[in-house]
Amino acid sequence: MKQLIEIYGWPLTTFFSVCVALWLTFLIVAPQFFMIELSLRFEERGDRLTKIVNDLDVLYRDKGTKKYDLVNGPACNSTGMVNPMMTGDSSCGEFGEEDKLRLEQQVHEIEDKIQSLLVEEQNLKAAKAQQFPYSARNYTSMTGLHAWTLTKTIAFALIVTLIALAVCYPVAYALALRSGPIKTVILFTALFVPYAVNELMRIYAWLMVFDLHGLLNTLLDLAGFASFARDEVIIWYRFPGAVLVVLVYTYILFMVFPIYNTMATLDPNQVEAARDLGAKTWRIHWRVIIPHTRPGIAVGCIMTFMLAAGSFSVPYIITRGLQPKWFTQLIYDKFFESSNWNQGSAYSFTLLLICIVFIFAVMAIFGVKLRQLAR
Amino acid sequence: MRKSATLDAGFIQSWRAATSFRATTDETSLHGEAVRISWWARAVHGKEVVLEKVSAKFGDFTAVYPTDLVINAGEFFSILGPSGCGKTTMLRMISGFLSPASGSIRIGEDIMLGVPPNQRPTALIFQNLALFPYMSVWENIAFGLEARGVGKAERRKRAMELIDLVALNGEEMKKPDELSGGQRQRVAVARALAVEPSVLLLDEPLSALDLKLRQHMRAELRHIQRMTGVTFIYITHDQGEALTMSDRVAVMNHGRMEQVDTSDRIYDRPSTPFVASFVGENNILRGRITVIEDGVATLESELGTLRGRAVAGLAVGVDAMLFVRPEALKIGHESQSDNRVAVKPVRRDMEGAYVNWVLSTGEQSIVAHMSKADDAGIDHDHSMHVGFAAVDAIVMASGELADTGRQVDEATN
Repeated sequence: MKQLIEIYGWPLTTFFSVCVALWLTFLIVAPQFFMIELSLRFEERGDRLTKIVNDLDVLYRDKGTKKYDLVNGPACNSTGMVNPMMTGDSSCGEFGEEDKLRLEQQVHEIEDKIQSLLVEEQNLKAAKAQQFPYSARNYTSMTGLHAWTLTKTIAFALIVTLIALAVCYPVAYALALRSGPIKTVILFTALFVPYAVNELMRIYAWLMVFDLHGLLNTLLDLAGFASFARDEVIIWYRFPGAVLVVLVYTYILFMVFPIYNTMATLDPNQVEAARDLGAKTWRIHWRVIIPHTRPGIAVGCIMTFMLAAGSFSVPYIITRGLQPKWFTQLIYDKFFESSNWNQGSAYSFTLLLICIVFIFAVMAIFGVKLRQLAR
Repeated sequence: MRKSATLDAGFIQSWRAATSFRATTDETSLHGEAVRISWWARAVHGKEVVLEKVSAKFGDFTAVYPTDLVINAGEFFSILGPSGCGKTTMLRMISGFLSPASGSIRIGEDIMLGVPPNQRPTALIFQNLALFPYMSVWENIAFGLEARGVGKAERRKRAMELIDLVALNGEEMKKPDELSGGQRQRVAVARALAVEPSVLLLDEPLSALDLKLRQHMRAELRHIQRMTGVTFIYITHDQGEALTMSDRVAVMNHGRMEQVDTSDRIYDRPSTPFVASFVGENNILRGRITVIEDGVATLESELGTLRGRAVAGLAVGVDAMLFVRPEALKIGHESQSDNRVAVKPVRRDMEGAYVNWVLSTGEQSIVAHMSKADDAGIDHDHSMHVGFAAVDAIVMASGELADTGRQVDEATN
């Protein structure tokens, strides 16, 4: 802090500190806290209280409708037929006394029901308030299907990570140790250009490849392995591989860069020394290059895995409903389709926990310390 | 004895202990430790390295001009030259990391054309040593054996023998960054020797060490070379290193071998102005040749008539340079037989073992080294004379001088 003040002076240092504090509070701590708190509150769907709340909603609506009818008379459609469901302002006459009495009677009955339900609701709420509000039920109540989805998502993310590692290690090696400055610039440009395009556009571009009448099927048609005429084409979206390919493509830079960065710090003499001592290529990689590159590989794997496991847009856009949902899509549905933020929070926190476990597992496998990762 | 080598904190001491121990066991062929070393000494023997018209090019730039060179089997051979002279390129061509643009390299009986570095009977010690930081000392040393598919137990046994040879006992489980500079140096030597090379190539391996350690490691390297009989090719820009360690020295400049000779002859009989000015200190006096007689050239200079040994091929009438070492100069009033130059004293530097006199002829400065005894009789205040024998001076046609920043005629004035 003292150093910061020396470098930037009081006003800037204060500004920085406030910004950091705001960022920490409102973008990290508060949302995370809110999410965890939500996830620990189980919202019962289908218990008596929920039913009462729903019933009350219905009763209030009925009461309103009937009162409206009492004032405005029966509604009617254009043919002049009485239609009690319609509440338009075109009045089609008036109720008889008998009808009015009947309606008033009904309103009274509804009001009575409402009254008794309100009492019951109040009692139930009071009882609930007495209970301890937190439980792990949001976590434990995950259905078998959702657990299977979660398992599959993690497995796919692992596969994506492995494929990306297999693809990126040679690329990083070529960039860091085997190419002159000009070649490196060209390769980097080639790597970067696709990333200048918006991520969604990049994903959509793959639709052109996988579409029914897309590139792959057209090529197969031309080669005679498939036929548009006989409707014998492959529906690529149906294969999980399609999602994997696009995920690898989308997150490849996050694997290439950490590996490249650490590999570039390797003293080329080490490689030459190993070769001079008679080591073959694979041994040079296994004994000299990979041990040096471990932190980069670990960071690359962690980033790729977290991004793949948390990817929403890729499975959403590529599968178009033709494959089982990914876990991220389930989370989305919990939040925005069934309005169950509590369970949604629990699901996303579960995914986060798995990612954290993965980080530590990777660090253990590669024997990398947190301090090395930070470099 | 071995215990001291293991535990002693001052490793120079430990090495001394270890080497003296070995010297006795080697000579007397005792059992025990000496047997282990003799296994090793049997396993390696140097091979000669022959370069025929070897040249190297990087694009349009010629790093090494066609060079013929014979390095004898079991020789300690140094290639000495300023940075950028092509000496490292020579080394990389011999080790196989670089293909010559022309010519052929032969090691022993085998032509090395197209043979990759890992199949040559050479081992390279890098300037920064390039030890593997994630391997322990013994794994580093055994890496070459590992690459050759030697089993772990055998690998370890041989590594321990080499650790014994370079007196690193007790350090085998450490990582390179836990060792001192000199210890790392020895790991690098042991690692290179483990593959039983016929030729060991050393690329300025001492340049990262401090002066004391460097001087000590010179003796150590020389000792290892003698013991193993491996051909050492040593690259350096440090003339002290080259002169003290080597059987023969090649002085290189701009991709050409200026002179290949023993250390003594390089110093006493330089054959080009570059060698004369690069190796050791020299006073340079310029003039024109008037007479050459019985190998003695007479030079007309602004300082008068000077005489010195003529190098072969010197002709009358050419611009020439006379080189005379500071220690060959005598200061005094009594006339010296062959050459005599009037000078004024500029500075007297007490160097310890000798006294460094900076003198001025009015045109240029001359440096003379006087022993303490001779210095006592010098009258400081008056104008004086320096003299030298014709035998101590060398006259050769003017040519390129080494840019060493310590040219006598540029030093002062």
